[in-house]
Amino acid sequence: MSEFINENPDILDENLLPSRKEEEGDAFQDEALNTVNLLRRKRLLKIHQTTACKVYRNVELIDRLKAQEMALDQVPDLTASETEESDEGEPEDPIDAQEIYDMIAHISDPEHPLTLGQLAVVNLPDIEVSESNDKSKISEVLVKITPTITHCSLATLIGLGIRVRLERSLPSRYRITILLKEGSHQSENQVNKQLNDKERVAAACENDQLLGVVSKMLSTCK
Amino acid sequence: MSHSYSSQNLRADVVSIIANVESDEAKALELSKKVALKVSEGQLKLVELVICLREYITSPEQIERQHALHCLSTILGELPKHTLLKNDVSVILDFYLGKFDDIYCMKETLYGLSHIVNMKCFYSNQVSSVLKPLKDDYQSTQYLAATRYYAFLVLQHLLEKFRESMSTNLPLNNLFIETFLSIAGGEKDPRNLLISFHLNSAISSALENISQYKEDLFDTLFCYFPITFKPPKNDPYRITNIDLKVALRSAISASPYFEEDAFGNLIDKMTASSPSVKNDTLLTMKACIERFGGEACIKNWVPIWNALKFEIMNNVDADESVTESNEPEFNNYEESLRIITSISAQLLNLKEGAFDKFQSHIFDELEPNFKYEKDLKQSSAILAAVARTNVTSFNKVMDDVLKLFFDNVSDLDVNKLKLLILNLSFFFDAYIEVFSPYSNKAQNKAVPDNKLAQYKDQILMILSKSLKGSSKSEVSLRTLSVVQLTKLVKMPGFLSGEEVSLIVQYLTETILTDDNKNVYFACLEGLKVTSDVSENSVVEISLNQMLKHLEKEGTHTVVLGEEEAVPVERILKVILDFTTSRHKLVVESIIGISNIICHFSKYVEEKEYCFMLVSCLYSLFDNNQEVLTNDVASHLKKSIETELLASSKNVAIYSDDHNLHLISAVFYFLNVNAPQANHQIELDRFLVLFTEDTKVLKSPARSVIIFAKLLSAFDKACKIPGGLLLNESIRLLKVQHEKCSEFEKLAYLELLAVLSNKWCTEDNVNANLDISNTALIDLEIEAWCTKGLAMKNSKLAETYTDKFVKLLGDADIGPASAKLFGVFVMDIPTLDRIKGISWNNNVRLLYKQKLFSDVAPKLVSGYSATSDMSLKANYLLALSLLLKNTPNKITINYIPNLLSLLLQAVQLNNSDVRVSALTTIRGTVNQASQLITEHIHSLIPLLMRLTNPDKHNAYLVRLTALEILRDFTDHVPLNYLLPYKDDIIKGLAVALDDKKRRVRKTCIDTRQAYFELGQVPFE
Repeated sequence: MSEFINENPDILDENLLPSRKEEEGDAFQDEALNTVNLLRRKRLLKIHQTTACKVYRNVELIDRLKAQEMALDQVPDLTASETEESDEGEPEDPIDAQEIYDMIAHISDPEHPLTLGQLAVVNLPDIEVSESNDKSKISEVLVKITPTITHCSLATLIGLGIRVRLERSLPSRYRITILLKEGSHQSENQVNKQLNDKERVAAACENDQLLGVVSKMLSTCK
Repeated sequence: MSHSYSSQNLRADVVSIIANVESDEAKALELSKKVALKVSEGQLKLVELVICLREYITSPEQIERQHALHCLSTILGELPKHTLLKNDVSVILDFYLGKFDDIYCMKETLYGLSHIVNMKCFYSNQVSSVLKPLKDDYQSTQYLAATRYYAFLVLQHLLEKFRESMSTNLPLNNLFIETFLSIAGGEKDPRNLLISFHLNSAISSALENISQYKEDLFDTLFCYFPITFKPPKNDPYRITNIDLKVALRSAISASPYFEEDAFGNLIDKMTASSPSVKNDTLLTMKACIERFGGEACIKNWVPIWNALKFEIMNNVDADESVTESNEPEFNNYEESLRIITSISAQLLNLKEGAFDKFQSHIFDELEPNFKYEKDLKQSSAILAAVARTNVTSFNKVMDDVLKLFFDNVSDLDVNKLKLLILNLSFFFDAYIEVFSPYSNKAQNKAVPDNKLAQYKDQILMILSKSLKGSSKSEVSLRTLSVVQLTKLVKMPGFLSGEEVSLIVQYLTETILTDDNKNVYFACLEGLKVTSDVSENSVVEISLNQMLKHLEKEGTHTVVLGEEEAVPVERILKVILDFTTSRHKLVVESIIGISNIICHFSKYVEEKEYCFMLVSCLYSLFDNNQEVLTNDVASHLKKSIETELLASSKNVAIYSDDHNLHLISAVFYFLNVNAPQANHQIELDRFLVLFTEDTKVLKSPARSVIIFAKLLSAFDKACKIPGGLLLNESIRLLKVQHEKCSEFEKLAYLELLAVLSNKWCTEDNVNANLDISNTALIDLEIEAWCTKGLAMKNSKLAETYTDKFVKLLGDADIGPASAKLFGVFVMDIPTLDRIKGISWNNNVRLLYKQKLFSDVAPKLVSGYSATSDMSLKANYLLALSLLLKNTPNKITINYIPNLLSLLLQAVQLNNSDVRVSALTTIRGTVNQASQLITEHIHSLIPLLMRLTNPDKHNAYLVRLTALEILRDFTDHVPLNYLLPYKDDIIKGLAVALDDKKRRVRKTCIDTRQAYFELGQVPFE
């Protein structure tokens, strides 16, 4: 692409994009952890920052050995062929706007070596997730994008990239709607229509060249 | 002719040399050496050799002539320099000079000459006889590079040998230079260029009458500038681009006579667009400035400055381009600045007036930039570059510049403040460069008065205002001011002790209250730097303040100042972070925290608080091993051991598993680092304390963990009744294990492992165990004793592991003994190796490898021998526990035999087994994917099933299964994988809806990898 439409966009620093706070619960996979111990592990992490340190290993080992000691005389049934439904005890991380944001903020812009997050094409407040409690019902995701300039001819392509990324990344029970933010584009309605027309999106995805461009955009996703 | 070396022999050798010249150089050289030896030993006369060669040398065949002459030249080269006498040399010289008209033999002729001129009896009056034909009869363009090389070599040898006589003999001097100019013209070969540059530089720096030839000499150099060379593959001479660049650069800068030509031409080259050309130009210019001296600078600085100014001012993204690319090849911006410093240095050396002119010229040009806030950064950098030359220049520049900075500092907004601080920082750096010699060498040499010091208060005020007075969201301003405050501390002699203390106080308050990572790390760095400069002030102000906070509050937040709450975790984190390897800080923190533990251990409600303190104390020891020398450990033992031992019996520690365990590790650290000479005494003392006073081996006591840890700390050469202790511990466990809590039981078992590892013979252990017992407690005792034995590669361990393998086939006791397999290879901190200490435990490096190679095949055969699925499960469980604690690089060799077991193991209803089998598979995929490739047809459906939610597909199972599928795309050949692409993409859709975010994320990445599988790379 020889000529950029918008040569000098405003750029946000990658480190300052909205991100999830340190995922605390992530480091703990021991099932034997009771709440007191969990609290302690969290404290240890706050002080030591990493689970790779020796003191953490020590505490983990004590807990594990104790659990093992307790269970030593129990004979587990390792071979029965039952498959119970999933473990109810596991806490659930809901899919939220931040998660959607993380999926799409790192897509590259087709004409700048920058990501959509850096260019503020996608913004956290412009993502809405309405989760249905019943997983057999439809849930919805609404993403509003803000082109860098009102006559951006690539808005459709950016929207297509986002749609492909979300369709690949979200469970099928989600309905995905991608709209241009109100008043951000000259031909808002046309683009909106194009982006949310299943037939047209499917047709676009059959175009190898177009898919190649989209793949390139997605290659920077983290 | 002598007897031993007949003319036949000579002839045979000569013929052989000639025959081998082209085909086997080494052989020819070896024979030449032999002939040369004969000549030098007097067994052969040179004349005889020449006669022998005559018919070849005069042969009409040019090949034959070449070879013969080459033979003679090589032999001459092998002769010791003093062998040939005056007559011989002059005869052979005449002979060679006579060969100049034979252009086919030019290479060999020059080759021979290059040796002759080195002979001892080659005199200065013969030099011109060599030079003249070289100048007049030799046309360098007619010959190949290899031939031309020898011409240069002749000149090089002549110059090395006759430099003195040439410079006193003007005609010879001129002749030499002219000869050089004649042969150096039009040279293109890198090896010849290298020698030509060296010669040129030697001529212009050592010979006379250069001014007459300066233009020619310079032209033969500068026509190559800027030189680039890409060495071909298998380059025999190994000449690099850098070699040539450096040789050319030093030749251009070799003589002040080149000044006129050099600067003009270099300034022209500055307009080049290629950064690499520019870089070469800048470096060469710098070399010229430094070599040509102040006079040359006076004449030339105006155009140079103009060229540099253009370069610096137009370097808009100077810092970004440098920080973004990890290793910038060259940094023209910095080089330009360095040239400015070089010019200042030269001018100052010459006379101050010249420098003043230079400086005021630059300043006048840059001053408007400060008024209009244009190119401020570059302007400051330039002025700092002038300033950093030496004290004089520093003061002169500061005199002018600081007024500009501090003219109106009264009402600055955030951006202006940032700019001001950023620009000041250039001069801080200059200060450090100028004054650091004053701090390094002698303490008594005070930093001289300087202009920056006069503005110290204002600088401090601005920095502290931006740190303390700005809102926390001003991250970059706050970080910047912290960084600059740190720099002030680094500036030698700039701050007084109180001012350093003030900065430490600021940093401490900031690090405790600011949540931003950048600010945190800047402060941390600041505190570390300060503790290098003045450790005491950090200990007194920062550490003591934090310890006081910890003392005050047993609850979990500390209130700092008026409104800000600082969590205890944060204080401990800061203490851990900023003590790293700083001797005094480490010791003081350890003592301080120990005292606080002693205080709070009495209150049962402070268990959690004690846990945090003890874990921090543990890490202070663990992170700072290198600080804990014998002396330090003794000092610490004296100051805290007794108190800590007493408080370990207090409720908040004694009744808490973690606290007691961690504090016992502290005793371990204290004693393992204490002087070895005292170990026996200390060991005896503790033996009495635990076995006689506390009687831990009579009835179950939690404090036995301290005993176990202590025993593992002492020198294994100490004397101790090991067998007896083992016997008592085993008896206690057997008889009273019902009464023991899990914690106590484990502590006693750990004690068994330590004893059997360090202080029991195999007989001791054997006598106390009965291999026929199969009660659970007996198995446990045996497992832990076996662990101690296995770690020292004892033979006896094998007997017991065999027993455990056999028990796996037992329906009743099999599952329990399978679980105990984990014990053998589990890493327990009590028996860890500490760097530099080999005398405390018998831990062999390769014990896991031995154990695994011993046990794994038995597990495989046991597994295949039974058909009962529940028994098979025992083997799988045992295997998975071994794998879990054995490094992948050991197990990888056994994978082909284990793979079918692993595929079974991932289907067992136990998530731990699944995880460890999957982890092994994952390691194999990454390290030896060829082992997996043929199994992927069975692995893929299995892995897909493991990504689904299921009771036994724990979080880690699902995650690892997904990771393996993702790793396939990197390691398994495309043609194996492609058929599964669509199935995998479809099948993984389930995991997109996983409960855990990280699983979902990994699933997305995995699916994306498969979407792109086999896709033609874009563009």
